[in-house]
Amino acid sequence: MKIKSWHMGLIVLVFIFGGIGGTMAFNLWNAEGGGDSKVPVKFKEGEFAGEYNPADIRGSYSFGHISELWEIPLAELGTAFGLGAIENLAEFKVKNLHEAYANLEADAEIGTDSVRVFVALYTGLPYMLSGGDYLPQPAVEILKAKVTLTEEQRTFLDSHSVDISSIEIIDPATSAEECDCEHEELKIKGSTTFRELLDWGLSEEEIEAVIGGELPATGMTIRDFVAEKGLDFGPIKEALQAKVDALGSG
Amino acid sequence: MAQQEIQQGAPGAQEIKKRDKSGKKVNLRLIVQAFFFVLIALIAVNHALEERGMAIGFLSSASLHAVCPFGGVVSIYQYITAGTFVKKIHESAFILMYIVFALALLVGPAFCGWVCPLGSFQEWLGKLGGKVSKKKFNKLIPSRTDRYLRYMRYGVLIWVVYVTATSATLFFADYCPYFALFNFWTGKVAISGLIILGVVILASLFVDRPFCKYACPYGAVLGVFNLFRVFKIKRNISTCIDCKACDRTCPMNIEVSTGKTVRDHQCISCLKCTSEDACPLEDTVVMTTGKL
Repeated sequence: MKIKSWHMGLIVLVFIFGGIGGTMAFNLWNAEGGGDSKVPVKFKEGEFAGEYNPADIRGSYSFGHISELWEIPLAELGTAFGLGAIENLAEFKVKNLHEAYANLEADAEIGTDSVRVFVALYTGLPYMLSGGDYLPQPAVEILKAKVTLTEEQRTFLDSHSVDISSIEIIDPATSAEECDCEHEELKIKGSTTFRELLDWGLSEEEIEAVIGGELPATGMTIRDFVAEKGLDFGPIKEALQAKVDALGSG
Repeated sequence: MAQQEIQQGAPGAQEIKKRDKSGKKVNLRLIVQAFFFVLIALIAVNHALEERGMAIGFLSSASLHAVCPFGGVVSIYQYITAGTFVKKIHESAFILMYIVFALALLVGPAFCGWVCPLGSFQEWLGKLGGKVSKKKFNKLIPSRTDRYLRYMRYGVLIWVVYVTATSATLFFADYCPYFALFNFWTGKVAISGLIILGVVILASLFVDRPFCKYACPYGAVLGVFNLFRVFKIKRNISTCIDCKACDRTCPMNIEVSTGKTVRDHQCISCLKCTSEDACPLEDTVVMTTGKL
């Protein structure tokens, strides 16, 4: 058989669109965050083969979803992350932790990685602990009380625990309603986008002066930007907040 | 008329094909290339619109990383060791990687010659460059130097896979001219990516597909399939008149006329060398599985 141009054109189109269509039919195609990607990958081999991998927890996962997938009582997850006062905990998304802990002064961050660590240690599933992973104190206490931890894990938790007793946890669901949107209420959080900064009144030049480069896509969050550039969130946030505050007083 | 004279005056050359000079030949490859170029450009624009809450509904608003099969290749290590994808990579990139591998196993790196928008873009720029530099186009680099430079893309491939595996980030996006080409207006492209895109654009005016030849890590992966693909480019020695039209037309400078089967790791399955295009003889250079 000889392949001519029209054969080749047809083969290329059939392979690509047939392949995409076929995988869509079996619900395997996922090209965007969220959506059908709410099913995390599973460990493929070894002792934990078939179990969901906590390392695949995404910011778009809700606490209710995590509770179902890894069979952790929802209330326990809420207690661990100090979210007892959150109105609808089952719908609370992991990415909202950044906002909930916006008042956290320490350098340590409570976010998606914190949930991954907690779930992994709680369920005894493998996870590579990193120096940048921190957990709220209640989460550490639950793990110590309920899980058989190795000495290494205990040492890790002791040095990566954040005291949240004096922190006012912000419920993202209600904070938006309470906001009267005056300048003095505009607070930069991890989830704040560059678009919001522009909407608040900062100019492109002012933002660029702080971030030390061109303004990225305006839909990008400040936290994603600093992570991508390997910068520290704290100083950038403070400098931008100072400029936002100056708008209010000016 | 000239073709008819050859037919009458050259005994044993009855197979020389008659070209229809009255009608223009439809360039199917160009249509397929243009289709994928526009499709990817629209997806890139829609992704930016989505970030502003203005996405067009019927179009995918996936990021370019999600629809690039090379994303699957660079994520393999993390997927095998941790079962997760590198940040910004989704299942779609893995699926496309498998599709393109299957395609390459059958007909070679047709993805490079028919689909890749960056390859098409370089090719179109090359047409412009060819008009300026004429006969010198695509022949500027001495063949000995060129031969060694062609392996540079394997070095790039090893570097990209290694750094992605150890950093678990899609660091190559900062250097990728494909990403820069479709995102230069978004502010997401690193200066390094823009510089590399500029170099590729400039080089494309003097050399056909410079990035594909010397630096493309994905082309390096797909090029390996040329060694064992099912349908190969073959030359019929008994009918070949050694006019070297196939060599002259090959964008990758492969010497098709020196062997029976093209196994060069740089072939992009564009079919330009075949009897359907450059070769003036019927059934002399064809892509086939059987013997000629």
